[in-house]
Amino acid sequence: MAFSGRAGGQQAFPASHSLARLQAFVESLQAGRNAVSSAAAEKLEVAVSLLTMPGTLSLEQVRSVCFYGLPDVTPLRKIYWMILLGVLSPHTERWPDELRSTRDKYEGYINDCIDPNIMQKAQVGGPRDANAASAHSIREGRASLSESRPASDHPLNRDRQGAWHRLFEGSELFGTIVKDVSRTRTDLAFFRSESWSLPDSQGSANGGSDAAADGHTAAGTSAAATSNGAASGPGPVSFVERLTRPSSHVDRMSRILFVYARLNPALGYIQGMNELLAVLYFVVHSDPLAHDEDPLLLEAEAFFLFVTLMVHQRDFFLALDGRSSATLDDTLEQYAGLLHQRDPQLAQHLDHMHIEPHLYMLRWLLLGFSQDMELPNVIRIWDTILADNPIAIPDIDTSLQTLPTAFYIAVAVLRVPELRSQLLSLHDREEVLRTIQHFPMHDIQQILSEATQIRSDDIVARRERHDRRQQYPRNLERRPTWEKAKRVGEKIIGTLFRG
Amino acid sequence: MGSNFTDFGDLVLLIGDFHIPQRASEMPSCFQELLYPTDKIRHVLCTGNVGSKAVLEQLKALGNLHIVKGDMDTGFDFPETKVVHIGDFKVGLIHGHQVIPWGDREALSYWQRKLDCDVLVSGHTHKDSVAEVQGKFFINPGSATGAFQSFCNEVVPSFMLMAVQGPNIVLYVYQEKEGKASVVMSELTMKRDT
Repeated sequence: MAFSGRAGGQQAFPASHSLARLQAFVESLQAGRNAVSSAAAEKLEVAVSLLTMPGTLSLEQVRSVCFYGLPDVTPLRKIYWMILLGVLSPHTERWPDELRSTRDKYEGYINDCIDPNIMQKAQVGGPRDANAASAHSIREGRASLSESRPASDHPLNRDRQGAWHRLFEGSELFGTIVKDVSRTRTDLAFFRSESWSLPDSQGSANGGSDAAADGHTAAGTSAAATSNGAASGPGPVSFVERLTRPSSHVDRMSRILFVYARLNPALGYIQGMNELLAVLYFVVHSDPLAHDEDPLLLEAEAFFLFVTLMVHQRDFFLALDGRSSATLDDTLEQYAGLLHQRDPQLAQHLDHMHIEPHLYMLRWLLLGFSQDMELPNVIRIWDTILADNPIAIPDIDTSLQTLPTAFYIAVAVLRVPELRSQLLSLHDREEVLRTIQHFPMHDIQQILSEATQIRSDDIVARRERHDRRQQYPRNLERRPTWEKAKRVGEKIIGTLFRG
Repeated sequence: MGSNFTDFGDLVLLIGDFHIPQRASEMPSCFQELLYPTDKIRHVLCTGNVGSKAVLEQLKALGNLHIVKGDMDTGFDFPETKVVHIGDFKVGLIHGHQVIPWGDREALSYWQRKLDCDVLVSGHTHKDSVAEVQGKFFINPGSATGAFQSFCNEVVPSFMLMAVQGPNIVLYVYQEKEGKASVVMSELTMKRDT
C-alpha cells in the first residue's frame, strides 16, 4: 500500500521526495531485490510496513519501534522522529499538506526575522532624491556629496524598533551563532563542507528554489552589492546576505538558530543549541538523495524538529541559566534516589564527594549525550530518548510516571564497569567530575540494554509503591506527620535543656 | 562589536574642541546619552583641544582613538597631524589652528594635498561643516561642547558619525538644538580610479 496513492493525485509527492522514495524502497523490498541480513531485514520491514499501513498510525507502535533503534535506512529515521516530536501527525494522508505548510511557515518566519533591505532602511533619511544624483555620479566615477536631509534613524539611536538597532543586534546574534556552528562536529566532513552542494549539478535547482523562497530578497541584496561596488568576492561578507542566500550547511544551521532565537526572545540563543541542532540537521540531510530535494523544505524540517525538541529541552537551558524549575529539581531528586537504590556503594561515594547529580546530569540532559559520543551512537540513543517521551504519555498518577529515559541511561553509564571502578578509586572531587564528563561512551548497546532493564525495574517498583499506597492510604499519611512532630518536639526539648 | 560583517562597514566618530573644563563644563546631556555607553564605534577621530585627561579617557573607552594636538592641548603628547585608512578612504586629521586663515578652503586644500588624503577632518572653528572640492572632502565636526570661540557669535554643540563602507560614507551630523539632538545625514561617494 502506497501513501502517495492514498493521498490522491493532486497531492502526490515529486519523484525525488523522501516519502516517495521510501515508498519505492518498500516496493523493491517486497519484490525481494534488496539484499540485507535477515535480522536487519525483519527490523526494516516492521519499521517500514508500520508507516505504510493504511489509516492513522498508532503512536504507541511508532514509539516501540523507535525505542529499540531504527534501521539505518534513510529517510526512515527522519519520518519517525518527525512523528515522535509531533512535526507530522499520525494521519499519513495529511503528510503532504503538513510538509508543505512546514515549508511555508518557515519561509514566513524567515521573512519576519530577516529583513533583507534593513541596510537600506537604516540609511534612509528624508527624500531620496539626492541619492539619484549620487548614483549618477557613481556611474560617472565622480566624487559626490549629497544634499543633507533630516535622518529618521541613525547608528546611535537606542530605539529598539530602529533599523540601525536591529542591524547591530542581528549582526551580533548571527556572529555568535556562526562562530559556534562552524565549530560543531567538525570531525565530520558533512559539517565542514563549505558549499551546500556540488558546484555544477546543483547550481540551477538550488538557485531556483532559493530565488523562489526569497523573492524580493535576492533582488534587494544584489542591488546593494552592486551599488557599493563590493561584489560577492572572498573575505568578509554581509550577514544579511548570508542569511538570505545561505551557501553552506553552516549558513543554513545558523539561519535556523537565528530564526529560533528571534522568535523566542526570552530564551534567545544559548550555546549547546548548536549541538542539538547538528544531530537533527544531520538526520534530515543524511539521505544520499536528499540533495534532489528542495533545500528550503529540508531546512524547514530541521527547524521544526528543533523547535519541538526545544519544548522539552527548554527547562534544561533555563536551569543552565540559573532559572531551575521545580519539575527539574524534583526529577533530579528522584534520579538521586534511583541511583541509591541501584548502586548504593557508588551513590554514597558520589555523595561523599559532594557531587550532586545536576553537576553532570545537566550537561547530559541538555545536549542529549551529543558531546560524549560519536554521531552514529548519538543518533541511536536519541531513537530511544525520543521514543520514550514521558511528556507525551499522559498519566493520571504522577508517581507512576517514569523518569525521562535520559536519567536511566545516566545510571547505566555510571554503571559501566570501567567507569564505575575508576570512579570508586578516585577521591578528588574535581577528578571525579572530570572523569564522568570525559568518559568515552563506546558500548552503546550495553548501556541501552542496561538502561532498559533499570527502567523496567523502576516501573515495577513504582507500581508496587503505588499499590501499597492504595492499600494503606491512612497509614502513609499519618507516619510523616508523626515523625515530623517528633522531630519538632525533640528540637524544642533540645533548646530548652541547652538554655 | 562581536562580529566583522560588512553590512554597516566601520563606524567612525568625528569629535573635538571640548575645552573641558576651561570653557565648558561638559557635553550636552543629549550627546552623553547617545555616546555612553556604546560599543558600536570602531574609530574615534578627535580634532584635539580635549582640555583634560578625563575627556581623553572617555574617548579611549569609545573606540580606537586617533587624536591630534590642538592649540590648547599643552601638556599632551599628541601629533600635529595623522592619516588613517578607513574603508577605501585615506582620512587626514588636523586640529586646524595651523590652517591660516582659519577654516579657509584654499588653506585647507593645501593641507589636504600635503597629507595626500581623500577626506580632511579639521576643527578649531567650532562650526560644523562638510564640503566637496574637486573630488576631495572637507569635514569639520565642530565643537562637542559648543565651547566659546572668540570669532564665533553663537556656537552650536555638534559632533559627527561616519558609516564607511568601501567607497561610500554615510555622514550623520549631530547638533544640539533646545536640549535635544537633531540629526541630519548626507552621503559621500569617492571618485573611482579609472
